[in-house]
Amino acid sequence: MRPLAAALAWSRGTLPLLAALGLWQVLGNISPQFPPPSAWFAALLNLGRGGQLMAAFSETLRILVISLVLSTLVGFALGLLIGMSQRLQEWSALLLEYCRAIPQPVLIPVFVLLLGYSDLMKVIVIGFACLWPVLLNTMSGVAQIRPLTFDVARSLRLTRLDTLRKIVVPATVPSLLLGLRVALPHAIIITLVMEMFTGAVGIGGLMIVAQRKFNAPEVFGLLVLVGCLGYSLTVLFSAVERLVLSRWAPR
Amino acid sequence: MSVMRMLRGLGGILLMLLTWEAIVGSGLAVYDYLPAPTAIAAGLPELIYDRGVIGEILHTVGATLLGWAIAVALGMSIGALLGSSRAARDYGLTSIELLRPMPAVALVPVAMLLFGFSIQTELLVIVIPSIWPVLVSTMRGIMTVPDRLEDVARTLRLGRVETVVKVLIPAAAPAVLVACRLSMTTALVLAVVAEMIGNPEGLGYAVVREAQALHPDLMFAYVLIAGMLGVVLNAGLVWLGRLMLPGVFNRPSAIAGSP
Repeated sequence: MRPLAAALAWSRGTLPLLAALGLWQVLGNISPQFPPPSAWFAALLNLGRGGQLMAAFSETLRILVISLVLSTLVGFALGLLIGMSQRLQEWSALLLEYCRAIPQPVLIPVFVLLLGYSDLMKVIVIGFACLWPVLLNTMSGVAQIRPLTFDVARSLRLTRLDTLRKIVVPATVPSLLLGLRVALPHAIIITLVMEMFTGAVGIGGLMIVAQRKFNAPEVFGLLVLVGCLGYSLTVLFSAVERLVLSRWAPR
Repeated sequence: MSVMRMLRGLGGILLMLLTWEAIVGSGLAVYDYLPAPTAIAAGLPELIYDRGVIGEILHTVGATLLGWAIAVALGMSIGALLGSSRAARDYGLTSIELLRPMPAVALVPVAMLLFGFSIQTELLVIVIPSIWPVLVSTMRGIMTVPDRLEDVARTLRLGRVETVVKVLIPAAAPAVLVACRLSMTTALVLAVVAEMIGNPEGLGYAVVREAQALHPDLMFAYVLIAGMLGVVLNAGLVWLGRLMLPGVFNRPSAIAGSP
């Protein structure tokens, strides 16, 4: 009974959205820029039949995942390194503050000019944008460890590596996840902008092509698809987060 | 002590610039379009006199602030409505939760279909994603107001609107202010994106223009200016927050903002 009630309450909340879409459908073709929802799905199906949609979708996901994994590894490692050294922290503070403040999309033309239209360029553009939230949150995670904990490590005569492995890393995992939670939408946005800007194979590329052809149904259909992608990645991330946090509960 | 810290921070930046200069100067860098910092600095006068960088900065700042202000107003009103009314939450929240993770840049092509290359395109793209942080934190802030305060409002026989304006919103203010700062970061990022792809004006367009004209020195100068703008806007908001709510903003935030 409980889950059923919860599901009902959840679906009740979708009513305004469904009503708006329904009204739009009933009103039909208001103007060429506002095609009704049924036309969006027809356009998507059409794209899907040509095989373009699947290719674009998997390419976007591939680049997104590679970049996220790389920026997590690099950001976590750098964050631990800087976080554990007072001196490094002071010397890098302003630099990090500055790098974080750059609106990351302006770096897309820069890396395109330096690296050309390559996979490396894509991964570096997206990875660079995701690096800062991961790095800064990892650093603050290290800073939150109580000094007493390090005294314990010293009295147990743990080596620096063991301190890192047994104390610092487990204690910083929740902060890393927080950073990733911020980095994930960053990653999706930069991926799409990069694809739109370069016209590369991917959902963003398809969107910009559809827009240039004034193919409104395709644009709206792809918008829905991107929305679904964003939503499912968020849900997926929450599930992973819960799984990880059940092992490394924040203290 | 903090002067030393500042000096070390500046030293870090100087060290980075020197390394950059040395790498480019020694010919170790394999990139054709990587100018040395001195070359970038040498391009600054051209930026000011030939390219009208001041106007471009003002355009980006103006669009960011206007979009942000609209988003804050919308976010706070919708958030206040959702936070203070159970029915509004029941019937509206899921729709919002479904729309919220939509990557905002996907709106650029839609906005361009509707408005073409114009400031409206830019504003639409800025406003929608900047609403969410303010909306969510206003709603949560109001929902977590202690019951005691609501009892006070009832004792004073405040009306529903008065309760929201005089009691609930002030109580939620700290969380809302933090969200406003997050929204500002989002607004700036989206302004730049809209300028790069949609509305050919401002700093975002300037970077693209110089890249396509193969002027890497000017392009880098524009990128550095965009970074400065980010620092200044963020610092301005922190300052404003401290002014309005001393105590909330005193801790330096280590958590990076997000779009």
